[in-house]
Amino acid sequence: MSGLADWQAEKSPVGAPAHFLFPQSSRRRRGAEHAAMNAADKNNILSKLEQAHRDLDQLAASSGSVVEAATQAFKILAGQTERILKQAANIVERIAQESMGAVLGKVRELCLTVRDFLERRLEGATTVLGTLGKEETQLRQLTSVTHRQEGVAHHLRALSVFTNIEVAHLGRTGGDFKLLAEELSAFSRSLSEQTLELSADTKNRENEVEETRAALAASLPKLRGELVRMEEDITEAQRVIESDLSQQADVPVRFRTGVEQTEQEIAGVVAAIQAHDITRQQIEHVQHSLHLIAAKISNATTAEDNQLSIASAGLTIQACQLKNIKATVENWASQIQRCMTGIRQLSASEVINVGPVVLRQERELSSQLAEIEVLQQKSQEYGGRMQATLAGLSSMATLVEGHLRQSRAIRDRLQLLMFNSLIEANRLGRRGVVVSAIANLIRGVSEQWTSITEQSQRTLDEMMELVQQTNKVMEVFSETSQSSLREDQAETDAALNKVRNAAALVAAEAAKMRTITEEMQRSLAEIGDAESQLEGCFTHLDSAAAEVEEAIHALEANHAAMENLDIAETERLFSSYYTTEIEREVMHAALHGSPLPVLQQSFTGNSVELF
Amino acid sequence: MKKILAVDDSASVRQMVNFTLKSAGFDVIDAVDGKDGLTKAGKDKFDMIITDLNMPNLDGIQMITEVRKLPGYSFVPILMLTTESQAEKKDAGRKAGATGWIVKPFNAEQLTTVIRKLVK
Repeated sequence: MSGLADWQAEKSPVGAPAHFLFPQSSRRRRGAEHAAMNAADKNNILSKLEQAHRDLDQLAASSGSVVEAATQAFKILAGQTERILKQAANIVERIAQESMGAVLGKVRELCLTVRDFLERRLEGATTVLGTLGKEETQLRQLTSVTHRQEGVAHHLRALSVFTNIEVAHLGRTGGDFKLLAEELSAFSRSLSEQTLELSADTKNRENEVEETRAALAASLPKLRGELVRMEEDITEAQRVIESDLSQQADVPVRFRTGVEQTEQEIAGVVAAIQAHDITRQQIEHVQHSLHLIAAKISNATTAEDNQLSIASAGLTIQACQLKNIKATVENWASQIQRCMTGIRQLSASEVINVGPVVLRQERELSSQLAEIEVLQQKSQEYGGRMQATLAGLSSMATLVEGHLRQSRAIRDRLQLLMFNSLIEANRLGRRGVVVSAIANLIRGVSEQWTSITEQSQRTLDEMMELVQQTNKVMEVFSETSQSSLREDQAETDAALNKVRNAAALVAAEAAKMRTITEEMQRSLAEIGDAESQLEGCFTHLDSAAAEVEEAIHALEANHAAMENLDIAETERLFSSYYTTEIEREVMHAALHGSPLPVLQQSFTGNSVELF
Repeated sequence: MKKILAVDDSASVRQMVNFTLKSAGFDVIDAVDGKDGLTKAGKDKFDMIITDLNMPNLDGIQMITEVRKLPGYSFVPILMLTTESQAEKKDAGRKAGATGWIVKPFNAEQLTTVIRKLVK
């Protein structure tokens, strides 16, 4: 209302009496001759009033068409806003429930399970490495056994030759000794074969163990390094996602807030459109008043005529009403423009970006998590290899057990041979001296062999103990040990799947929102001309106000005494049209010199008063 | 669905009332002045009437007086929606049979809340 305040300050100093309507020029003319207003001046004034009336007609028409277009557009925009709000709410809710934030918790759990799983396997592998070292020691013991066995075999072959010589020497008297000699010979061959077999098995096993040890020793540090790297990569991916999450979660919320603000602005436009209706009535009342004033001027016969005073007062009141109307129009026009600006700025682009960003993050995280699968497979390969190697340990123990049985059998047979030799030596008497010596040699071999057998037994016992220890360690490589990891992986996959679905939904909803915002922009473009039409409204208003001002000046220049203004009559005449409180207040202020009312129009609307 | 008669000589006001109440789930019929409103009230049964005061042909207060004489309209809520706020006008409206008074512009949310309570 600065326009009105400026006008008041210009026309009426503070504290001016009730006649402030009458300018100095008019008061100076008091006492001058009371000449009649000439026809030309009268016609001039009347034509200005007529022009003002036409300007107001054009104002009513142009503002009416602007408001009509705005009404249609805003009805559509209100529906579109509601649709977008629903979609924004869906997105906000879905992101809250199934965001990457929910996945990160699962990923952390999975990482802990993986680390625990792989570390146990690494520890298991390290233990197996130690086991293989112990097995190597045992194999060396077996090697020494086989060397001793070879020595015995060699000795027994020599004994066999010696026995055959003695058999030949004894001739027919050798009898049973010949059988012994043949048995010794066969036995010697059998022992050699068994020794070779054990030696070959031991050698093979030694090679296997050495190969596995070398492979494990090389790959374990590498596997440990890969585990550390995997953990670091996943931790970094989580950190990046966490830092993005809060920003992304805000995007739909910001968009929804923006849309809610637009919704309020649109609600304000509903009130603004009603305010236009009030303006329309006020314009009509001014036009009625101008018509009345024109009649007063036309009917005035002298310059002193009271009609002219009333006309002059009436014109001043209309000038104030026009300024109030201008303030009202500025108010509701700015509300419409604010809403249009808000809608233009409404953009779903940030929300649209949320879906693809989440999908990108999900892909990155999934590729990191795929490393877990790779590591798991590698550890599984090592596990497979170790299981095969340790199965070899078990097999070796079984072989050694077999050899041990044979060894005992050989020991028993040697002892039998020894006894039989002694018996035969005894039977042969003096001729059995060599046989007796052979029997002693056989006893010596038998004793060696018994020692070898005991050594083999000890080695076997150690092997069996190692097998048992190793079976426990190998549990970490079993299928059941993977169950917890597989559960966590399945849960994480399910969570990531939900995120993918949520991101897809967000992308779909955001695409719909973009379509709707584009529709809103188009709806807005259809009333785009409204802004220039509104400018046109002000032009008509200013023109009408200028005509009224000129009419006031023209009347003041011609009109002499104005002391006889009947304020009550003037109020009665001009207020009969008024339907709003503000019109009455403006009239009262204009007539009585009180400050003009300040427009306090808000667009929240008025409440219902129930009787 | 509750049916409401909206009477106003201003097309833009009728549209705003229509839009607001239809969005709230009401069925809305328009009338362009008091005479049109009275005719439509006589032909159809409405759960509520919202009317302007200053209208050509038949103003709001006269229309309310006549509507109250129609069968079935003794207790139907009638709200006046007008630019007028003077006590004497409100009193005249109340005496004619108005249930409530709203000075334009109305608050859409508040209006629908009050109407929901009145038509229950």
